[in-house]
Amino acid sequence: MRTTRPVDDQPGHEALVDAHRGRLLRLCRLLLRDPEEAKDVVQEVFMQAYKAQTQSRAPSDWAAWLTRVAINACHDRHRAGWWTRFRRSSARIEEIPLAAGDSSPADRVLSEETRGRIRLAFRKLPDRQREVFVLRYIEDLSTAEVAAALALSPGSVKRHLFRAIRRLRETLRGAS
Amino acid sequence: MKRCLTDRALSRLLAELGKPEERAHLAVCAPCTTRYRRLESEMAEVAYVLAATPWPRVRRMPGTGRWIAAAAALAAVVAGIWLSTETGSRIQVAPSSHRDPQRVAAAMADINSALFSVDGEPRGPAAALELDATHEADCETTTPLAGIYCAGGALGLGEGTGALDLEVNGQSTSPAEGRDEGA
Repeated sequence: MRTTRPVDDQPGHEALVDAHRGRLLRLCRLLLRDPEEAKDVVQEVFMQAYKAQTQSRAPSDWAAWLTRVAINACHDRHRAGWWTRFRRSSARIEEIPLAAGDSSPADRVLSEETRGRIRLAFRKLPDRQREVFVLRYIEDLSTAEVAAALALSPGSVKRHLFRAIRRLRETLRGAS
Repeated sequence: MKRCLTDRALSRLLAELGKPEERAHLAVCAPCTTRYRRLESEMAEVAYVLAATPWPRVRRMPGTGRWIAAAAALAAVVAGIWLSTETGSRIQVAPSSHRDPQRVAAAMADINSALFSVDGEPRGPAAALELDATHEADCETTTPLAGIYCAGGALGLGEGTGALDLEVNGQSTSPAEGRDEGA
């Protein structure tokens, strides 16, 4: 059930973008594995948010609403964009190492090899498990919130999370 | 629960799927608690790397590998279709006149003689039709094998199948004759 709040109580569009853009960009990049596509999706999400604001359909919880819309947009991309994905995945990717100044002391504790292993293990997860893991561990949502965002039952969310944890552990141990 | 928890059980507990007895064990077992904390920190590390550390910048270069694979697959499909049409036009179904009843009957007689040999001698049920009158007495006996020589006997084969005569070293070895000589 979606509740709306009065128009004069809404945050401005700029404030909304400032507050959520970084988080949504990270979420979409993790789900789509493509930074360029993630930017496109986030732009779409804020377009929908703008429409909702102008048509007085603003939700009471913008964070949850934006998360849900972003996840749905990522799903749509997965379903529809096979040709784009084929074209993009056929491109050879060169990872440019980061400059030393970009990393924090905490980052330097983890070797680049370890980080690469973790990213690879995460990429190997099925879509649903990746979504649940991101929302639960990175977005820090509760099981009930994840279930609401993904339109799943709480039990299903727990099972996906369990499988994601198992796979990540197995992949990381297998690689080490 | 006395035994320590498996890795699988610890993962289940972390995903909030653990059973009450597993949770109770975790609360009192120090080694399991240590392993559980390690698993928690591993997942926290994964989350940290994914969320907080900068991902390497990506430069896309035009690649050819997938395009070549797709083109090869398409060429294989086209070649397969062309081959199937070429070979399909060359294969002709035999006309129905080649499958005449006489040939079928002869083939069936061969099979019968091979299947129903007695003492190593091929003996077709049809040959039994040519038995002399002495063998007709067999038809009245109750010996199980004797009945197979009788016309329309145990095998239920009627007339018209034709006798099977074999020739070895220029001599006719008709099963019926062989039997007569033996008798």
